[in-house]
Amino acid sequence: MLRTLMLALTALVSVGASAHAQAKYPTKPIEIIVPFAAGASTDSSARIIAQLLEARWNVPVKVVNKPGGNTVPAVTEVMAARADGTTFLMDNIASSAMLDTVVKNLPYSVFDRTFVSMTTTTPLMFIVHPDSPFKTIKDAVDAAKSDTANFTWTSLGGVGGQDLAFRQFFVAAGVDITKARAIALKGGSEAVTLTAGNHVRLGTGTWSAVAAPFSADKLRVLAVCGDTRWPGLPDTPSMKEAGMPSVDAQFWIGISGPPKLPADIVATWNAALKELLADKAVHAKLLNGGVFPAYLNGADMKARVERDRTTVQKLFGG
Amino acid sequence: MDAGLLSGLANALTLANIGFALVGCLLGTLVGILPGLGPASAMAILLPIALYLPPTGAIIIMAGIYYGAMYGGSTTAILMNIPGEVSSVITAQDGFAMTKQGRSGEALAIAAIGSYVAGILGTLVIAVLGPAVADLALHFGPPEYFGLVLFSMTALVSFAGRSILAGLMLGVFGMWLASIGTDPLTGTQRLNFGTMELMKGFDIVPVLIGLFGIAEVLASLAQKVEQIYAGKLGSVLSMIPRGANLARGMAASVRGTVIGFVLGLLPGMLPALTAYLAYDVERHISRTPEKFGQGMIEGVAAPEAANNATAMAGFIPLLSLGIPTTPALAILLGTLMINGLTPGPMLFQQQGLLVWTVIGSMLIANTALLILNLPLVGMWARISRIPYHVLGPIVLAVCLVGAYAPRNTMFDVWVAFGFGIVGYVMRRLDLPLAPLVLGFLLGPLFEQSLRQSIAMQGTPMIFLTRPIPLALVIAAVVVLVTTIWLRYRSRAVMGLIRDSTNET
Repeated sequence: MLRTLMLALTALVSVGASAHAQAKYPTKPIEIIVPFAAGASTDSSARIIAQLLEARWNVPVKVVNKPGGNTVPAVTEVMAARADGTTFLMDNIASSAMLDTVVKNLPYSVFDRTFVSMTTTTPLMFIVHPDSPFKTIKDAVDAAKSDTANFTWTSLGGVGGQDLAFRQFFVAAGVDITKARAIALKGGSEAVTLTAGNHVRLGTGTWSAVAAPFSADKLRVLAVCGDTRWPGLPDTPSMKEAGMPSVDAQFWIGISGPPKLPADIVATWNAALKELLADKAVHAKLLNGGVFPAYLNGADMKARVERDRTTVQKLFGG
Repeated sequence: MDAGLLSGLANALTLANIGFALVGCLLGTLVGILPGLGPASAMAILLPIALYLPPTGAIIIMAGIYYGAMYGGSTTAILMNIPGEVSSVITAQDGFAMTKQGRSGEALAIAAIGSYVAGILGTLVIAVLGPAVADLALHFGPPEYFGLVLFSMTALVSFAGRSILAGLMLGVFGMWLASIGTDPLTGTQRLNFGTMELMKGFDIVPVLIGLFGIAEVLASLAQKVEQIYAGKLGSVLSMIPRGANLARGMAASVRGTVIGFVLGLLPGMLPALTAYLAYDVERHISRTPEKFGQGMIEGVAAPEAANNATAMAGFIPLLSLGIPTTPALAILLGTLMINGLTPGPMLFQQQGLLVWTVIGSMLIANTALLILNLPLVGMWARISRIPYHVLGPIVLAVCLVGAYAPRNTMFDVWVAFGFGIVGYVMRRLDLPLAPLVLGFLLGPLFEQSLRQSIAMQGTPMIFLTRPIPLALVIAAVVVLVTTIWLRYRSRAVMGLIRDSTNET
């Protein structure tokens, strides 16, 4: 009720969008559930996309944050929702490919949901304090090998994008991760702050948290996971260029729905998202939000989940 | 760009920017008054709108919501013992006591004045020091946090009520409640008793709404309260504190501002925590510490100033380093980023006018909030005279909606009911609520900083080899020992007085 009141108030401020009921889907308000708190990459992707869809479809597209519990409560809610195209999940690598490695005996399979489309992605980046002796990622590899017991790194605990990047890093470096010193943290921005305060030797983060301390010269970025450079960091090599192509952790984000979502609804979403994500103006908005557009249709998204799940199970011993 | 506070202030005084500041203040006051709906959720809902507004306007509105909520949060805490925001929990202690004495107007006025003092002093400090103090947020690593939290925990003892043992046990119980759900550091599940709902843990809002709001309704029912306050209230003017009372309130506001501001520069030091610590300091330096909880004006002024000062201080690490110190500021960071503005020293250089306009608008918005709040004091104060058979059900309904709102789950409504009964029983047994709430708030920070510090070197010796943690650990021990000793002595003295009066 309060939320409705707030929406009504905000509608007064916003451009008046009149709701013309249409004969075909969508005609009813849509809810996108974000399994994390507001403010980070998944949330900003959801909010930018929701707003674009709302303007396009003339129905309210509401973003609801249901954080906590390793994304299980949010995923479970979408799994139990009616497959009528009103409830969606802002899906991502953590709530899909990693989920059954993190949480054993889930009451459903990760593949029961309907994958709709992948929307955006953001690479993990390796970061150090400006005074760090590491000038390149190779320096960090050497230190991890020669002084493993004092090599501190930022872990977000268990299975997540940050830990995936570090596990790939340690495997590629040929170092036993359990011999190095993990500093467990509760969130991505905390990992960046700790690195900027010189309390840890190597950190990771995504652009949404790295951008500001980087521009304040409180951080250096050694390399960007994967095979492409980040638009905001034209001089920083990708991990492929740095000679470690297997370190390719990406935190990707996409839309999923309840099981057995009708094909025509999926097709409507696919068409809309494909067109929106090809728009240059939308690119700029997304990049400001710290994510890169990366459209895939439902089948390709599912294939991506299968591939990532295999990688995760191998690295985390699930 | 050569911009300063004056050019920012001039730019903030344009009609559009004043309008944005007012909208922000009003929305902030509204979410502040409604329990459950916090500034973070209101700002998240507004985030998409931020794409339509000019960046300056969007940031002014968002900032207004954030500190406007600090003003509004005290209103229901004072009038009905339901903190509208977590940051006003401790305000209820003396604020509600004042309402029961018919001094609700005075309490509301000093809360607004305290917040205003903090808002204006805070803004001036931001303008003068600005980025220079931002690095404090970085110098505090896990061992420094541990020292700070350990020191803060000594407040648990002074909130313990009659029995230190009972107080400490309640504090531990609060920490235990906060640890249920997902281990924040490893993501593994713990203490969830196999239920899906407990995986998310307890949210602070339904717990507080239960302990304070619902428990208050139950207690009023049990005592057949007809009205919260039955006497005459007098005119609005007579409600504004003056003379010695005003001076004491102002002094406490300034102290609260200093504490709230310095601690507010550190990530994780939520307004709720600094409000508790400011209250604790007031009690320690007061000549009449036993009167706290019975309507001391300092007990309202200091925490309200502290929570607003913390809200203001958070803008320094946010704007100069991009480090959000609270969840609400994380959303503000998102607003800046979506508008293509990356915080940092470059922001001050390239977007000087924007930054100074936002800072200038803080002066205007805080003044607007004071003007908005003071005349309403009389109207709000009358709420305490509404017959309880009318007020009670409304309060209960607001509590239930408030418990549901933050996470959109019925489970939290049942949690609020459960803690309503817990709070009622504790009241009947004369057990203090403060240690429980403080344990709940401090627990996660205590656990994380301890585990992270030990992981850094593999030994607890890290606390003794770094200067700041060492100093804080020693200070904590000293304060703890003296507090216990003073309590012991004062009880002995009280005993002597009682014995001597019995003899005559």
